[in-house]
Amino acid sequence: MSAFEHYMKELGAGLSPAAREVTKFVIEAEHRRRFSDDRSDLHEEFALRALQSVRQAGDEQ
Amino acid sequence: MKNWRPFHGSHRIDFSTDPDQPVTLILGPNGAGKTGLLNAFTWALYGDFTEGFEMPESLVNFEALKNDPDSEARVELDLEHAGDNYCVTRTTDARRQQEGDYPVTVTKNGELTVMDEIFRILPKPLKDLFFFPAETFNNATVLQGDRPGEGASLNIGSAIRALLAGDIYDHAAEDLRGAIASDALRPTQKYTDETVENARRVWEQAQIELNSVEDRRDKLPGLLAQARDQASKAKKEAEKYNPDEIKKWERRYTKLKTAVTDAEFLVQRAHGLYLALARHAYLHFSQRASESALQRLDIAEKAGLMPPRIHDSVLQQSLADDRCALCRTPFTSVTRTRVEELFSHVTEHAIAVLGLETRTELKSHLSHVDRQVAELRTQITTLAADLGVAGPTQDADMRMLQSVLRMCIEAADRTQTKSRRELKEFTEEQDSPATTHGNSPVDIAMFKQQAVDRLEREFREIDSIIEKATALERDKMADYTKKAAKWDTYKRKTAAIETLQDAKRFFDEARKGLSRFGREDFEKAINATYADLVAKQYEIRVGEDFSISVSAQGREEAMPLSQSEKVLLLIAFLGAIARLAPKYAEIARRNEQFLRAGDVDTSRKIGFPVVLDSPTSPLDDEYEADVVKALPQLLPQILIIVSAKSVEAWEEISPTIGSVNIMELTSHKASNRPVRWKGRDYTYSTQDDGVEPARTRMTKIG
Repeated sequence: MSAFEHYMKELGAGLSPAAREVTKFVIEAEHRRRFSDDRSDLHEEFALRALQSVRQAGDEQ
Repeated sequence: MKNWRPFHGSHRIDFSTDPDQPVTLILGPNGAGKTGLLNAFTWALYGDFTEGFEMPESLVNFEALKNDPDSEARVELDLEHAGDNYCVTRTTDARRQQEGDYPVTVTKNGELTVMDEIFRILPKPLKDLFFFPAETFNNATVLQGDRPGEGASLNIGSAIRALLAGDIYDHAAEDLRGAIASDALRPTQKYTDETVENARRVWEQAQIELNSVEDRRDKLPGLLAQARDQASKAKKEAEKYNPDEIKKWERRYTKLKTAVTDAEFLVQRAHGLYLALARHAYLHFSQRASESALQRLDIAEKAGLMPPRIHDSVLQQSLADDRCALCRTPFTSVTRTRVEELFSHVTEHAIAVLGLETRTELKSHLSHVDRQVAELRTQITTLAADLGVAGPTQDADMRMLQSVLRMCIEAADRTQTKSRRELKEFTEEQDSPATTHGNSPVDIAMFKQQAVDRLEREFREIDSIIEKATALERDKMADYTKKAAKWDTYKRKTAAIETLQDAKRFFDEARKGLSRFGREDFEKAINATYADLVAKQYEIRVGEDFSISVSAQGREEAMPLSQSEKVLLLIAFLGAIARLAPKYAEIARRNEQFLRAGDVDTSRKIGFPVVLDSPTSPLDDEYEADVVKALPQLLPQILIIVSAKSVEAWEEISPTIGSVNIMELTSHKASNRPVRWKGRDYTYSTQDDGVEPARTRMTKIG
């Protein structure tokens, strides 16, 4: 495993389940919109996704 | 290309795709549109141009527009990457080009696709690296090998992250900042609890400050790159105009300016004298008339008519007395008749006296005329001597003086035109050392360097500022979360904010990692590339900001590089990123950025093509050959657009050249010139008075 990969794995492992969910969601969205000029709705989209993930995590607890 | 800039009609270039013959050589005279050709690439791929590209609103060929105002300019680029064939076609017309409207079509293996497919392979930050303008080579502002911060102006960090799809992480961190501050995570109404409301306001303020410093951090590399570029150019200017150069420039300028003033004065003198001569034109006629009158009066004198031999009063008295008033002898009838006859003649006595007086006056007048003509003659003689024109003879009359003066006026006009032209050419050819701000180039260079120093200091300190701002924000967030915990409605919102902050931290670290490990890859790649080009044991170090320095292996201090080594360093800089590009594109495609970045090896056998406009232009002949020989070692495909000035040097490497083309120029300004390639002459430029504007035609010759 490269030093970089190791470092990023550790960083990923430290994320809460909700944060991991959001991270995946953000990566997918950013890949989709990589070359798009209009990104105005992403802020609200990410915020709502975070609220949703937090609710799910709360329900599971 | 069709109707693209000077290329009227359709033109095609077949690039060499044989890695053993990596070079495609395009020879073009000045004015044939070498920069226009380079920009055909950037325009087709990015709808954009290289720095300094002139008149981007005039892309459609003038001649085509003259024949048909609806003519379109079109550039079509065929690419092959990872077994897929792409075709990018961009068009515009006379109206659209004014608005920067350049529709593009992309196909992949014959099927329509989106431009993003191309951007994934060739991200936009590569534009300035893979399509390299002559100006950057000429200014040589990018790399000297021994100055701090060099190379950072090319923003390699941004290019590397883009190649690794790292722009996704850049965007993610930025969008998460926006998400944290979004309305969705704000309370729908103010907390009724003042303590919680205050905590929220304090956190929001801390969040705004953190966003602000993070935003500044993201902008700093670009600002620093720009500042370094400006400082480097200003330094170059200051070096160009060192005190000795400025003095030399001033001496030459003063000399030429004085020549113009002198010439203007000569013209004034000549025209003034001509006016004076015209005013004295009467002298010419009065001289002639006076001389003629004087001549006649002289004849009258010689004939004894002036003065008269006897006074008329004596004759009158004698006739009255009928005897001679002098001897008292009485007149006979014959004598009386003769005296009467004589009296009739001597009545002209008054006229004779008048004639004598007139003669004296005429002599005086002629003497005055002589003096005036002599004065004009002297002035004209001096003027003629000043102008290098043959002066008038000592006895030159007004007519002769006029003839000499005409020659003087013509000579003065010629001198004035010449001196004005020389001054104009001098000031146009060279930038004046005087600046619009009135500062010396040295002051400007110092000012620009101070700006770089300030930004570098900020760059060094920004991480610790962000650390403090982050700590403060977390502290305030913790306080807000704690105080808001009793409100179930908002508990979830603060939890969501913390979740987004965690995610943002992940992306921030990913960005840092990509830059750090990408930098390591780049350092390895540039050392390998430079070693392929220069047979010396140099070590190139790449700084955190992707700036570079060159030293001897195992030594710290910077090495002085030769002219060709400096240009090759710049070429290696571009070559290194071009060698990394396909490997990084593959890593990004497989989403293996974190797995493989920092562990990538490069070789000259794999790399994206680069297009270099006049890479050898700043070099002396002896160094030019070094660079020409090294270029085929750079990449498996390299396009070089260059003048035929040193065509022999390129012919030396002909076994490595897979495609040779000429940009054949026809213009009223061009001269008739052939270019010799492998023993055959080909048309390089043609003079044709009927061709305006210039026309260029692509011809494949090998």
